Amino acid sequence: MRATDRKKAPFRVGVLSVVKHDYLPRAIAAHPRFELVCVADDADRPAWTHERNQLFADEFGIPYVRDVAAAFARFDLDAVAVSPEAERHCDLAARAAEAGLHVVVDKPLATRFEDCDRLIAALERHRVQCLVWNRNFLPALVQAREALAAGKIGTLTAIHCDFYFSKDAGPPLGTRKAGDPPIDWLGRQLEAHADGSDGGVGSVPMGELQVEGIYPLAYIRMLTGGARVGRVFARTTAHFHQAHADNGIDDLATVTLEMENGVVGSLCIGRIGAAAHPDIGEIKLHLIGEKGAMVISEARPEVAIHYRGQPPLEFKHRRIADENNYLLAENFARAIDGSERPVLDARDAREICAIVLAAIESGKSGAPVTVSHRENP
Amino acid sequence: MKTRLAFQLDEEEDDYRAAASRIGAVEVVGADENPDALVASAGTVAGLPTLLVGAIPSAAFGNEFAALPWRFCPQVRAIRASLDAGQLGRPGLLRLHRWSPPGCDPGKVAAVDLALWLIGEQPDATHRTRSVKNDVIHLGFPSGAMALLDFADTLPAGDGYHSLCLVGSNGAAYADDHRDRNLFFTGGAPGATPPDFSKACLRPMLEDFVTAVREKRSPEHTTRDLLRARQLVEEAMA
Repeated sequence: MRATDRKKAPFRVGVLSVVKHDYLPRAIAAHPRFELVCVADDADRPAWTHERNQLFADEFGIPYVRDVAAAFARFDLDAVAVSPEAERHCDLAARAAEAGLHVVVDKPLATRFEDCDRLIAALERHRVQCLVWNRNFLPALVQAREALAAGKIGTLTAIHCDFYFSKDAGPPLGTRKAGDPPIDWLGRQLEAHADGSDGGVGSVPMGELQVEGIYPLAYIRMLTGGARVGRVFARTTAHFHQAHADNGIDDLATVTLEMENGVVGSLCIGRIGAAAHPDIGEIKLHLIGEKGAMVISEARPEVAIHYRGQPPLEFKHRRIADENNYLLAENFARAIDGSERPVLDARDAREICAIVLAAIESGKSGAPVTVSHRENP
Repeated sequence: MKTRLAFQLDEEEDDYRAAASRIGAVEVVGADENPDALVASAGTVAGLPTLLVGAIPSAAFGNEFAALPWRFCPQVRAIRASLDAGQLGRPGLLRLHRWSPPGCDPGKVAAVDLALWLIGEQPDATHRTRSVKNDVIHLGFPSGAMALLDFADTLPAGDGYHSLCLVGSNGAAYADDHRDRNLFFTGGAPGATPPDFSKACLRPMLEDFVTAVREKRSPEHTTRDLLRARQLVEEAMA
């Protein structure tokens, strides 16, 4: 990929809340086409959010403003990087789009159609771009996409994705003693911040399908050329973690996907516990085409490193040549320039939101569910 | 005293005989040499315990044992041993891919049998999806466990592909051809080939059969398992 014009003035980016993972604003900050100029959040947020926002602002030597609208007015922003609690992603993104700002937002985009609709309407009204964070530029995914594009296995007919995060999430299932209260979701997520397993941080409990499902579904969407999923059948359960069981959400799910053009697919996803894999987890794609098939490990290339005294939870295989963050930021810059579409935009993410909602419904009902896609507003 | 084992197989008889010859408690004999038990492709010698290969025993014959070679594959034995030792905890998910070139049986019944045997339950939900190249069977179990199995018999001529993953509440097991392949550079892109252990299931399967014969075990439960798996596949494919 040829780099965009580095002589152009960098885009001025406001960070809208940085209470979850900070990889997103860091990736934007590291790209030469972007410059972080402030952190902003709503004044009425709880104290812990202000603390995290302030820490990030201090590290980058930029102001923290407890008023989102004031930050928009004061800093002459071009774009925002949105990384708040999971349930606030879409609201903050929509407010930025309504202010005419380009948006890069952490996943998941939303868990409700209405939020997606509001964002998409604002993006279109103001002709601004939105990139939803994803992993589609990992080297193995790029390899798979290029092999498909080159016709190595012919027309794709089936695609299966395994997406297991071998992370713990508090006490194992079945360890809550009689009389103990259910685990508080937000409290558990705040505890998890130190080890980065707080992808679902927020007041609204979200299962693996809702928090992480966008990653594998974005792979499937990219590799099928955006094939629309018509119907799903899913099984969902809390199999590993007490916090998920106490909050009525899944930590393990399987979904079969019936897509347009006769393509079938499936997804296995779970937060399967740190003991279940030496690294972040087994993440694989199995693709069948008219002329052949591919088996792709998302982790490759990687290097194995073992040593005396190695912490038990340290990954033994380290991913290398991973330029996903840079390439996403580059893609965002190109989208703002008008030379490329975001690799996963708000419409794509709304389609994925529809699949996830249908899968959750199927998991509850035990029956196949037709996916309710939204047509363009 | 050794068990006298005879063979009447349409295919792979030499492989079976070779495997049996490595079992100390077995003497390989001809079918007309007064065997104690038989390994056969079909039919029985009246009254003789028979390991029936490649076919499902008739429920009417009490001496026919179902051959379930997949249960004795080295990777499956290792997973089963880990599961039985409690290392993996409660099974939550079994994921299986079974792809082969045209003309090869992808083994749906054996795969479903394997899933039910490892998860240890009968499913209460079955869903099937298919494309022109791929059949997907999705099973749900009363405990909340689930299984996703897919089959293709449309790979280009050459090797097939097998993959099995079992995720339990305490751990997970991964067995697939992807991680077992070695590279061979003979010009152009390298070939990726696993060491051949396709016959490694035979000896433990025969050992189990001989033990069953000695212990006068009933073949009923394995036959029942296989019939259930076949019924489930037939219902899914209907």
